[in-house]
Amino acid sequence: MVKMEIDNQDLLEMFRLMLLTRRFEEKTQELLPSGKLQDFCHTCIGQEHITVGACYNLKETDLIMPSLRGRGAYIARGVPIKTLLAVMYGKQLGSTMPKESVHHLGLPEYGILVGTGIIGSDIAKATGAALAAKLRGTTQVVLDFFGDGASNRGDFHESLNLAAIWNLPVVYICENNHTAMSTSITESTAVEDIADRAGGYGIPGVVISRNDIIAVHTAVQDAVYRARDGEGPTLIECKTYRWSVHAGLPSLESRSKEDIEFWKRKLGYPIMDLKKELMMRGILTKQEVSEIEAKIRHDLEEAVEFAKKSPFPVVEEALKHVYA
Amino acid sequence: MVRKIGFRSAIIEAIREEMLRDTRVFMIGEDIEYFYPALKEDFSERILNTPISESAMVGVGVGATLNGMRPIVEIMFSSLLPLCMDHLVNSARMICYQYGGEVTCPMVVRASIGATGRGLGLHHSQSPESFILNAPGLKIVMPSTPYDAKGLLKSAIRDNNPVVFLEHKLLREKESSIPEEEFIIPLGKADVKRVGEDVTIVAMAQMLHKSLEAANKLHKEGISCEVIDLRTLLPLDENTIIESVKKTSRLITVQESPKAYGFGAEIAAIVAEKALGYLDAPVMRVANPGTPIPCTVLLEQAVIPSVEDIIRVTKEVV
Ligand SMILES: Cc1ncc(C[n+]2csc(CCOP(=O)(O)OP(=O)(O)O)c2C)c(N)n1
Repeated sequence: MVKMEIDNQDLLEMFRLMLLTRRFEEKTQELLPSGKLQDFCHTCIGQEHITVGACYNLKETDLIMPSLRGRGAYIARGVPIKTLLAVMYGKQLGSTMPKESVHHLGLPEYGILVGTGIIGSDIAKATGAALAAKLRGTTQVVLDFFGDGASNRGDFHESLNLAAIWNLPVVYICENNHTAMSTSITESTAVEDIADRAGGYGIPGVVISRNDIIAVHTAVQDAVYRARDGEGPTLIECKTYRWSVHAGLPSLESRSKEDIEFWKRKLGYPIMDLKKELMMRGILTKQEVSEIEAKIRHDLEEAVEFAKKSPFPVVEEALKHVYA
Repeated sequence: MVRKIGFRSAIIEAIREEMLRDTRVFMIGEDIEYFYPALKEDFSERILNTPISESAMVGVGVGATLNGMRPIVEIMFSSLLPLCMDHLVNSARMICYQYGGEVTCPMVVRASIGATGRGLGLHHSQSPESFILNAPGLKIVMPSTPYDAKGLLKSAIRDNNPVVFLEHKLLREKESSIPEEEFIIPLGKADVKRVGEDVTIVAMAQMLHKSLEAANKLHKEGISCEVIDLRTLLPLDENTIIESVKKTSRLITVQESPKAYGFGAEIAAIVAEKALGYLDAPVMRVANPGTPIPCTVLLEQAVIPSVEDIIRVTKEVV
C-alpha cells in the first residue's frame, strides 16, 4: 500500500477545514445563550487539528469513533454543518430523528460510529468495530478518539489489551488536553505521557508534543498504514489544551486565564501557526484568507437559517425505535 | 432557629456534620475538590478527587469498608452506575450476608438522576433505580426536599449497609426550612406530604413535586389527593401506603423511570396482597412509557410524566 504524501492543496484544505471547525464552534457558543440549542457545547476550540488532521484523507470505508470534542472529525468527513446545527436545535433530519446529542451522533453514511455520553466506553466499541473489520475481512481501519480523562477508565486498558492480542486495525488517538472537567491531568494520571501506557500492552505509543496538524496527520497516516497492513493497533497521544470552558458552562472552569495563555504559547496555535507557515511559503495570501473566512461566514449563516427553519419532530417520534 | 437552604447546601451540611462526628467518614468522586471547596479546605485528604474510574471508585469504597472506613462515593450521573454494578451487586450488597453479619459494608454511593428539560441526552437523564432494586442488601434513598435530603443522608452515612442515594438534578432548584439543631430522618419511613381523602398518590424526587402540583389543581376541582413521599425505596414503608389506601381506596404511583418492572409495580403488588379488598378502582401507574430519554427537549418531555398526566389518570379512577 502506498502512503499518501501531502501537497500544498492538502495543506490548504486542512487549513480550511480547521477554520470551518473553529468558526462552527464559535457560532455554537454564540448561540448557546439564546436557549434555543438543545445541546451542550463541548467545543474543540484549540484542538481542531487533531480530528481534522487524523481524518483527512482517510478512506471513505474507514470508521471513526469521535470523542465528545470531535466536531473536526464530522467536518473533515464531509458532514454538512447544517446537519450538525439542525441536530443541535433538536430538529428532524429528513426521515430520521436523532435522539442523542450531536456529540455522540452516529452517521453511518459518513463512517461515523454511534457513540455514548459515557466517557471511555466508546473505546471498547471502537475496538469491537475493528474486530468486526478483521472478521469480515475488510481493509477498514478504525480511528478512536478520546480524552485524557477517558484513559483512566478500565475500558481503555481492557480494550488496548484486546486490540493488541487480536492484532486489530485500530488507531487510538488520545486528545490529551490536560484537563477533565475541573481535574488537571497531574491529579488524575501519574505517568508523564499517556502514550507510555501502550508499552504495557505491547503496542507502539507515539507522542505528538505540539498543536501541529502536519505532525498529527503524518503520525496517524503511519499508524493507519500499519493497521491496514495487518500490523495491529497504535496509541497516539496528542498533547493539546482546551481553550474554552467545559460544556459551555463557565461555572465549571477551574483554570486561570494565565494558565490557558501559558499552554497556548507552549503548545502552539493550530490554525494561526499553519496559516503563518502557508503564507510564508507563499501558498496562501491574505486575500485568500479573507475569501475563505467570508465563505465560511456565509455558509454558517445559511446553516443557522436551515436549522431554525427545519421542523421539530412529532412527539410520537419519542416512542419509536426502542426496538428494531 | 430555622433557616432556608437549598438542596446542595443540605447535602453539604449533612456530609460536613457526619465527617465531624466520625473520622472514618470520607468522600471520593470526580471533581469533588472543585465542587466542594469548603469541605476540601476543612477535611483535606478525607475529600479526594478521583480520575474517571467509576468501577474502581465503588470497588475502592467497598475495600475501604473492609478496613474500617465509611466511604461516600460520589458518582456524577446515575447513568454511570451501570459501570459500578459489579461492586454494588456482587460485593457491596452481599458482604453482610456472606459473613453471616460479622462484616458489613457501610458505604454511601451518591448519584444524580433525572431529566432536566435542558437536553442532557440519552446518557445523562436516566432514572435507573429499577436497575438496582432487585439486589437485596442495598438500601435505596430518593429524597425530594433539601430537608429530607439532609436528614436521610445523615442516616445513610450512619447505616451499616451500602446505601445508594439518588439525587434528582432539578431538586437543586428547591429550598427547605431547616432547623439549626441536628436532626436525622430514619431510612424506611415514608412521609405524607399532603393529606387527602379520595385517592393516594405515591411518588418520590421530582415526581413528588409534580404530584403535589397535580393535587393542588385537583383540589380546586373538588378531588382530594393524599400524596405520599416514599423517601426510601428500600426498605419500603409498606404500612404508610396501606393505611392510606384503606382510607382513600384508590392508588396511583408516579415514577420517572420506565413503567414495566418499576417500583410502581411492586407497590401495586403489595397493595393487591395486603389491601385488595379496600380498593375501589384499578391501581394506576404514571411512568415513562418504556423508552430511553431522548435529547431533544420536546421528545424528552413527551416521555417524562407531566402534571397533566397525573391529573388525567387521577380523574380516570376517582
Ligand atoms: C464515565 C463518565 N464519567 C464522568 C462523566 C462526566 N464527564 C463528562 S465529560 C468529563 C470530562 C472528560 O474528560 P476527558 O476524557 O479528558 O475529555 P475532555 O473533556 O477533556 O476533552 C466528565 C468527567 C461521563 N460523561 N462519563
